[in-house]
Amino acid sequence: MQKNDKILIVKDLVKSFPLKAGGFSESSDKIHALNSVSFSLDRNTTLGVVGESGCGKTTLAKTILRIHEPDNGTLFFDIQDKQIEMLNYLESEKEAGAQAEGKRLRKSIDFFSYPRKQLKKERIKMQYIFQDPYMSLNPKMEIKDIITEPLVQNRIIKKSEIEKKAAELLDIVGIPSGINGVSSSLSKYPHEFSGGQRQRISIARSISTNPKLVICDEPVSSLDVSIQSQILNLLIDIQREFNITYLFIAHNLSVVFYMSDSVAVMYTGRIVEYGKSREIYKNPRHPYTQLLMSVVPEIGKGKMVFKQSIDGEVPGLIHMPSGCSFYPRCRFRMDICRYENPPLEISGNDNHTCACHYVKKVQSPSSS
Amino acid sequence: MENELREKILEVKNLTTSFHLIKSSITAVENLSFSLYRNEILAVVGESGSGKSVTNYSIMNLIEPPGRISDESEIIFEDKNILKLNEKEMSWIRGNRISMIFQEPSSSFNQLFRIGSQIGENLRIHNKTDKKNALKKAEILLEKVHIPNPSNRVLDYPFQMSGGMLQRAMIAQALACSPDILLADEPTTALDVTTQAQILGLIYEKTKETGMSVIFVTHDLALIENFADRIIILYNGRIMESGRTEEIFSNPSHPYTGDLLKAVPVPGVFKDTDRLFTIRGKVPSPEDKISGCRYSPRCDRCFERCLKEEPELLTQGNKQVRCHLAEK
Repeated sequence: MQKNDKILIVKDLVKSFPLKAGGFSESSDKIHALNSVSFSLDRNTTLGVVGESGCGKTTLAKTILRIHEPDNGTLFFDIQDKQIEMLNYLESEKEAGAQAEGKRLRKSIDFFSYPRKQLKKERIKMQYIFQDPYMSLNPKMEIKDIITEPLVQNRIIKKSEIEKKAAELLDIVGIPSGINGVSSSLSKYPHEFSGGQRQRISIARSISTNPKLVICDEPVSSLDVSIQSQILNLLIDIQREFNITYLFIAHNLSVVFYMSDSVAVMYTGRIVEYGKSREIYKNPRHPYTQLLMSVVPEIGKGKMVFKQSIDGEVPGLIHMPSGCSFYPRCRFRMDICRYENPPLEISGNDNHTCACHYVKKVQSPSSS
Repeated sequence: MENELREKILEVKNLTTSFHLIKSSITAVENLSFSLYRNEILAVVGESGSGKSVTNYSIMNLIEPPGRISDESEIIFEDKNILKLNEKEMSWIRGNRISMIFQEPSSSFNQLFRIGSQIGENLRIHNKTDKKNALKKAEILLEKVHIPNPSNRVLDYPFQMSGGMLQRAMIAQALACSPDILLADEPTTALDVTTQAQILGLIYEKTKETGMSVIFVTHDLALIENFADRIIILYNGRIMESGRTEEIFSNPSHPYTGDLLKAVPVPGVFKDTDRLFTIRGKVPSPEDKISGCRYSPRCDRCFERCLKEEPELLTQGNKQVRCHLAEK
């Protein structure tokens, strides 16, 4: 079967959370967590997502999984090119029959339009690794039940197979399972493991269903420095062995650049720069990316600039500014930035895209 | 050698802090000795359970039962062993001569009092300033830590401020009585990278401005490369290595320091070309009884002697290192 090389295509994803006004009246104010996010993700690669807290990284991850239902947008997950073309064709037709057919097709290929039952079936192929291994493992469950829970829940394996499958998974993530022994890890509880081992358990759980996409939400930020590299290497090994695609969320830029093939920089619920990891590292375009890279402490980076023009903070997401949301903090702000939100446009090699009026202005005269 | 010319402001000698539980006792730091000089930023680096926070709390004499600081421990501040002071004398030092900032700014302020009155509290207690003047001073202090519109901000409650602003307010509070020593316990861990840079910049600026000394506790080596003057590396309650920042980064003597530096991704390294160096095993907890060198179970260069006998902390020039390999 011919498969698309893109495993995930997200188009115009919008998510907002209504604010409660109190009493029975519903306030019209909303928190605009994601504002028209579009990107695609190649099979067996890693997309890193970086940004400050509150920029929508976790909301993006949770909306992709439909833990939060999106307000608007399309998501194709593991869908063939032909079908997407077909959908576009049908929906562009004016004829009523084609329109109805398009609607039906959308229901069967757009992840956000899946009915409940199909959603449950398809979502097995997406898994999630949480930030804090102390919070994400149920302290009252035995390890073997924790890591096979997705399988048991979805009736993929029988209860009698739990032990064997769990031992297999523990072996993959490098925890000695010691089957039948007194010190068998299988019937231990989470508190008997250290932070690094718990994160391994959480990885074992996430790969138990043979997923195609694993979303890693800050998987190493709560771990000790000497443990981080163990987990990062494990994630890379698992990706190569099982052909998994990662959406890798982190705030540590060096970790993201190291782990990712492509990087998306987010700010106030928008992607402001997107491109190959190497390309962005060598040649960051958006003033926000440049700001982030200048303040992230890295060993061997040389003199760090403690104070750049970073007076001002991330704007609130309730009343979004009409123009570029980075305008108040930007070093290169121009008049147009205040009124018009810059679109994400190609600006460089390898699909390097950037949403900035200044970058566009600087580039266009020099390139012609 | 140049250290000896500088004025010692705080000296910690043989600090041992342990926690006595019903069945066992846990020693969080053992025989810790170091000095802090005037106008210096000293970074204490360690992973969880290394005893870095306990060191800070011990200096403030804030260890409460079941914790206990051993009788041989001495912390000399202005020719006095502050561990021997009574509670009243110690309160006079806390917040006045030695102050502390904490990791989580939002839980360190009392949510029910205005920022201004909490910053002014120090002044009211230690300098006997009246309420009105204390509030005015608080305003000036907020301005000094670059909080915009301070005359309105002093009347804010903590929940009205963002994390970065609260951390700045906490620094303002700590600096209110112009202390000689500032203890910073992971002050930027809960903050965003951009805010982190601002806070570090602020601490750096205030150190140079007021001549105070800082003990900066962190787990992040990368953070302090261009920030600290000297570094102490703690592991499992022991000093493994200490020395000037440039020296430690360019030429680490202890395998643990070297391994730590190799294990974090550095800029310009990508997974398709380089594999990260891993330190095997797990971070020991203070309860683990390790015989010999504390790092030996994880060390690649460990040999027979390391398993039997714990190395002494050796002084070599400006550096101190605890490793059998460094003895030759």
